[in-house]
Amino acid sequence: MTEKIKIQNTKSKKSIGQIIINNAALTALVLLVIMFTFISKRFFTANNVINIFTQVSITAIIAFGMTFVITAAQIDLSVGSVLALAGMIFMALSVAGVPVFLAIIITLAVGGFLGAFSGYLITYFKLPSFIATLALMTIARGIALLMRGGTTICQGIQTSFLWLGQSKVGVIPIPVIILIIIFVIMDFVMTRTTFGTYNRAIGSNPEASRLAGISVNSMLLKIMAISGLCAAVAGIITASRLGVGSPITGMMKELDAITAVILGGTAMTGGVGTIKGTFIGALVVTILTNGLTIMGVSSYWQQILLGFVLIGALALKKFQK
Amino acid sequence: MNGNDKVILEFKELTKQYPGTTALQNVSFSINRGEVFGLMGENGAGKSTLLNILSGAVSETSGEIFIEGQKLTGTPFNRRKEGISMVYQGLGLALHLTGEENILLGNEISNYIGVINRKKQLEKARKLMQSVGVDIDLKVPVLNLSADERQLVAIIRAISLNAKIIALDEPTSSLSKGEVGKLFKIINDLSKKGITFIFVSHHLEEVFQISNRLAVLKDGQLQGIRKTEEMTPHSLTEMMVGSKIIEKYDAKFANEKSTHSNKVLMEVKNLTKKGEFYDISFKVYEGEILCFAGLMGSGRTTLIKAIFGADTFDEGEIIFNGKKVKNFSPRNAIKQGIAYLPEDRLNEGILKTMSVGENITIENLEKISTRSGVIKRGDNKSIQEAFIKEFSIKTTGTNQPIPALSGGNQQKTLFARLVNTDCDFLLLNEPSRGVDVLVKEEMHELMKKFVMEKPNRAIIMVSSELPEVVSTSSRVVVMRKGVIAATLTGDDIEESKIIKKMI
Repeated sequence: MTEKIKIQNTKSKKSIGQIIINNAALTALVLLVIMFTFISKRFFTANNVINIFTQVSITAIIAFGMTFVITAAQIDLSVGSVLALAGMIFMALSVAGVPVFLAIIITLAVGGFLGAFSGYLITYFKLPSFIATLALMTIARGIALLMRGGTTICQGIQTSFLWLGQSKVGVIPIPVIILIIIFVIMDFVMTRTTFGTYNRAIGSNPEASRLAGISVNSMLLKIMAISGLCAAVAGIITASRLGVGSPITGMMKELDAITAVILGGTAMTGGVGTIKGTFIGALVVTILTNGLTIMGVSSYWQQILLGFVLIGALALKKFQK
Repeated sequence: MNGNDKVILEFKELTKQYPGTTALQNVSFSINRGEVFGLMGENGAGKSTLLNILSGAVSETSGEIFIEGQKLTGTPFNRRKEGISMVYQGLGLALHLTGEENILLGNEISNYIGVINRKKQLEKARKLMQSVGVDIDLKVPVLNLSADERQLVAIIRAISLNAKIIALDEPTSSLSKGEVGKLFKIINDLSKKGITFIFVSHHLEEVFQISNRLAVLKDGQLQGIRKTEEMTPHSLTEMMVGSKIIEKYDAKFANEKSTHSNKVLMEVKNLTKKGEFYDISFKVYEGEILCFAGLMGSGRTTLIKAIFGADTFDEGEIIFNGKKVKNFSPRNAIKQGIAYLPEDRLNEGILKTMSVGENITIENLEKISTRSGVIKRGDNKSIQEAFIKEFSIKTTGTNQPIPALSGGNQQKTLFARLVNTDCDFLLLNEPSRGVDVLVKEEMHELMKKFVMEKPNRAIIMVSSELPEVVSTSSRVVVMRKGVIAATLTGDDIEESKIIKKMI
């Protein structure tokens, strides 16, 4: 094929209103920022912005893994528990005198392994992902609580383990740098690699993918492992920030992650996924809670509002073209 | 002439606008009571849209429909009350419910608190089934029936709803010749009783067999209404398609059949799968199109999927390019050079959430990506555009979501997907199913071109459309109840001889 063949991709002209609806999450983000800036002078300060990005890093990293999972038409309910367990293991290794880099590698491996375990239940035993990850959720949480009889690991922690969560490079906290690196990598994988295309294909139609020669089981296993890995990263950062290993962190984090993914435009039915969208979704969720906290709104009201935001986002999808 | 000349259904200036396309434009015509009325046109002409508006599934942009003089409004449920019943292209059934449940869905025999009388229901469903003249297991989930049987359940359901007007969208696309005959007899009997039928079909011979009058749509506009007896297949195709395009199909491959060399590419030996096919042995020669004909249930689909590795088998072996095949899986088959076109493009073929372009290259991304998996976007797009042009796939661009394409163009996209794998051996399962006249011809040309243009190529095709079998294949293997009944070559390849062996 030496000649360049021109095939026009026709675009229909869209009104401003339609453009806004199509980019609902981004619009919401912009509106929230403007709104909170007006409401409180404490919102748009350097300090608070850094705060927001540090908070978003935990949610977003988990949500990126969740994006792969939901794009494959699966779900991972275990991420909050894996986060907690990873944090406990990380700190337990610290107390045991393990050097920090080794501890990171071991903890990440555990996270990946736990994810792969869910993946194995899904591919080999044909369990629905809802059930498999629900099981892992309770098992992982149980192990985390068992480790110190329900209490935290707070004594004998090496200071090197706190660097990840509490230090900065210049003004930028390390967690934010980790967030950006993971974002770039995962967005690239989703949009520019065969892995990302196969991810969308198996979410769109696993049987058609199988007949087209894609190893559906192998993909699912890898995707669930990645989700576990992301949860482990988030667990390490959380434990490092808090300075303790706590078995009760991460509760409901899976819901925050799922909310971020859905707000960002990835569909529960699978086949469509966007890491960039998830990032915006995570920012919306985090800025909403941050702004409301500054305003003094109780966290219970925040939770209710978040639920309505999710409903609104999904309702808006009906008008998108 | 069936029925009295009383008009039962009238379409007035019906228009349907979608963003970017006009599916129907000011369509006006009427249908008489007791008629069997054919709705003809290429894919994308607006036939399905018209039926969807009639059934209430889709709302019109403007225009009106009158049934027995009354204007039609409201939801699909209301339409059913008015006596309009739709049988969609194989769909419209609750797949996990049984045949009996589906037939009586919404009309269950139950007492005042809703408890269903299973025994009476089964009896009623069986009676209906027998009046139609078929025999299907009504106690299993419809999911477990074959596509043909599902279609029949849908039709029985429509008939059971005491409909005045039954609309059938491609009712015969999954039916074997025997079933089609039965269906037409039922339609005939019912139309004499005053039930009106509207149906959409790509099978011209069938339209001529069964309809009294027909309407031709082209690009959303009504081309004309004719009495069927005044038309010929050629004049009808001309109306549907425009006379200039017909000439293209006196093209170079049209009358040629593929000839084959003596080189054996594949040898299947004593392949057996209990309950499906037994002791299947045959050879495939370079350059040929080998066609498997047979009735529904003869084992062809399971056989071809077993060869591809998508399904298992119990005994036997397959030798491909001189080597015994091990490790059967779709992935390995493709790696070795064998690709498969599924029977059911909607559920097993297209990736609905992806674009036309992505659907083409998905089966061979390795070709245009680096070792680490990064896709070379420029190469990806070039390949997509090249295939769209070469196969004349009608689409607005590589990025168009594939559901927007007509069935025929989706099928061409899937064929492009196969050719893009650079596999030399293709397994095609019902390649022309649900595809309009023009595209059917195009696909046959593409298939013949495929086997003839390069060495070491061959196609195995499963087909239930005898004209297609006769016009494209160099050899025909007829299967009956899981075994090979006959292998036909040369002049023996003609419809009556094939049918004889099928039953």
